[in-house]
Amino acid sequence: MSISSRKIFYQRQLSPKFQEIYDLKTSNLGHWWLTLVYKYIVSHLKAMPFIYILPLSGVAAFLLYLILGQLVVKLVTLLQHGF
Amino acid sequence: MDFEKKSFGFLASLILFLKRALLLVLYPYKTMRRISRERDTAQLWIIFFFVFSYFLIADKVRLSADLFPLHFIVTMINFIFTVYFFYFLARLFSRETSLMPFIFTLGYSLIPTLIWFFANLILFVILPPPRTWSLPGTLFSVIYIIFSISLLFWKLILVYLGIRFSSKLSALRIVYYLALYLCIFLPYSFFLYLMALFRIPFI
Repeated sequence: MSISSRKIFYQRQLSPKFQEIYDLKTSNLGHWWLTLVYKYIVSHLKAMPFIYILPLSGVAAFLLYLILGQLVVKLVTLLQHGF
Repeated sequence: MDFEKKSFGFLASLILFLKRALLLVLYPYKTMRRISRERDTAQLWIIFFFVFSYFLIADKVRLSADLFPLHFIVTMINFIFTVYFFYFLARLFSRETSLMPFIFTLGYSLIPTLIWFFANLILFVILPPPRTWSLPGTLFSVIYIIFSISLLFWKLILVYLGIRFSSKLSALRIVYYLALYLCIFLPYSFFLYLMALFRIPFI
């Protein structure tokens, strides 16, 4: 790659990417441990979040079923009326 | 010629809207970043058209067709209130914040809500409540709850990303603002629920 084409590549391709990266300040949750957890979760939810959302929702629904029992059926009936 | 140009422009906006709706499922972060820079208002009109169509159909099914303009107006007022709420809070910290990214990102974050309400409408017609404590009834209830929680998670992700890209605020501040918003919005939506103007405090 010649110097001029490399320059064009930087201007057209890399510069907007860098602008995108530095457009947002990095999030700091006040404590290094919390920030680490936040960054770990966010990195998994940036692309294909449903890979994590669906099993999590399944666990949440199962827990709700264990805790509420028959009330889950009543809750669904109530929600179905809420269209 | 002008009509042709406008119809092609609208078709392009419709295709872009459908593409972004799909990409919000697959790549919410990248897609929301792009949406926050969007200026094509036709995409917003498409979203509002879906909201309008929902109320038109739902109120007919509910046998309260006269109320549909009122339901639509209340929803639009809620949307404008939400947009200005986060916009003004973001303006407190940055004078460069503009309104359009909030309208676009929060507009697109209505997609999970629309999917939930349309799915609920279809299910109401196909499998009308009440659900029973039988095996099929319980199985349906659990699947329905998985579906609802998934959409709620997705909605939360989209709202968070929308506010983050529109306001450029830190995560912690956005969480504070969302908590403040819920403190105001939940009693308000409950009041609307009592007035029969609001169905579920989810939108």
